[in-house]
Amino acid sequence: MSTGTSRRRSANQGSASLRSTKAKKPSAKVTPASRASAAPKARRAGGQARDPANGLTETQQRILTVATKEFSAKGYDGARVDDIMRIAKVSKNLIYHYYGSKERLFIAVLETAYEGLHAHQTRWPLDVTSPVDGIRKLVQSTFKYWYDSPEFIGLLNSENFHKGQHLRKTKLTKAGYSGLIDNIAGLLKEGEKSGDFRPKVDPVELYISISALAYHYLSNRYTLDYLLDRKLSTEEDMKARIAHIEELILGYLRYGARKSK
Amino acid sequence: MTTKKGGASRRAKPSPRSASAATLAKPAGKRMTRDPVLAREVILRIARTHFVSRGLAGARVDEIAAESGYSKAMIYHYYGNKEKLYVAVLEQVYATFVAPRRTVDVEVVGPVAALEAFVREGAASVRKDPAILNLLAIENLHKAAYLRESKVSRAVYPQLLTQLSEILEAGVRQEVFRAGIDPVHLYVALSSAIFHAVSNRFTLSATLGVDANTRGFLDRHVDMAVEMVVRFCRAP
Repeated sequence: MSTGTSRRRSANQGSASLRSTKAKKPSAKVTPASRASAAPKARRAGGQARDPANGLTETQQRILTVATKEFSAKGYDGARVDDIMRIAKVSKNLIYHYYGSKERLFIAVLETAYEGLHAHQTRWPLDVTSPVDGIRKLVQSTFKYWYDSPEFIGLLNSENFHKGQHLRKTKLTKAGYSGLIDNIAGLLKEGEKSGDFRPKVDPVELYISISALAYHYLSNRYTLDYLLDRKLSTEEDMKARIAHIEELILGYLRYGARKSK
Repeated sequence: MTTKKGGASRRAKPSPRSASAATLAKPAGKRMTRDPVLAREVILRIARTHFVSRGLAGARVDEIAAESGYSKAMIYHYYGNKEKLYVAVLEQVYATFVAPRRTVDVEVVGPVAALEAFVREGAASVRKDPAILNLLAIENLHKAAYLRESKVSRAVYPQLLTQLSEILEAGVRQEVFRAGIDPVHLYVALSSAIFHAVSNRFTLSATLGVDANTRGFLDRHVDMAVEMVVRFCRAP
């Protein structure tokens, strides 16, 4: 969005650094981690190189990284553009220049997160020796993805409070998942042919169940760990959980399959 | 975390002082009820909807006051502060969320049907009131910090888990379930299988080309969960 003018506008960043010194007191709250992520060298004025992968300048990238953290940790309503501005060390003007509004910044954050998911999914292993093996790999990849993406989980939870209204305004299409869904459909068909899987399993519904089994615990781990009085997020427990999910999903797929009769 | 906040020590016990403070603070045109039970209930109900849609940080006491018809001062009088109001909502949610399932009687229906009923009743409860799951997601955003301060006892889940263990044990005795299934892991798995599609129905619908908000979809999803869980427990 407005990529044509961003080079000229990036000269504004001189004033951005002035503003951020004025905002000294609140920025004392910035954690070392978020400070490290706000690379200071990107504040240099002048044209910025764009990332060839997504066409974003380093500053845009930094705004998105900070905004992702803030929206994820506080939800859409709780997050403040003022905080994002301070932590990313950019002016509010620059954020509005790039994104127009808090809502459009959130939409950009969602788009980036989903694009990351879909890019990740295209790397999930396809070369499987059997459909059973393929389902196991799918479970492992899905679990690992959610395990490594707590911020995305926060964003999705927030977006579900808002009934998906921002997501409907993104440029994302249902085609984003089509590669993965085709792949699952292929595994199911092959499994049905070999007699390993039951017939007529819907690939989208199966994917939702696999994703659910990984996502829900990770999304609710703090309340569950506290109330169940068990820490289920140790490395060993996570391995046990993946194996557990594989068995749940395969048990379902094998039920009523030719080979299981 | 919230104990030092202003007004935190004020409790909802009616005293002449607080009653007059509330009267003074009440702007003209506000609801004029003096019924504290009703007031607490209405405030809690409205607050719940605000926390569900906006999160703890995003919800505003001003707006809760405007919508409930009670003044901000009344809300502080009854609940202390926004965080305590949120904790009260959370306590109310847990009171039903982890109650033992009512439709499950393993002695009568046998272990397989009891396990199925256990899953189905859990699914039905969140389908009836999906906001429960939003509130739990909010609390996880805060790493369960408010839950720890609440009156929700850590002994709540054990009742539900005992019920699940009894089903599993009966199944092992009758040789329909295999031995050695960890009820905690199973509970987490079956919860995931039934709750996620409800809590995330909007994002799933928007991106996956399904309508996860329909009865047909959710019925099929719950059937799948039941089959998964029952097959998993079945003796080989």
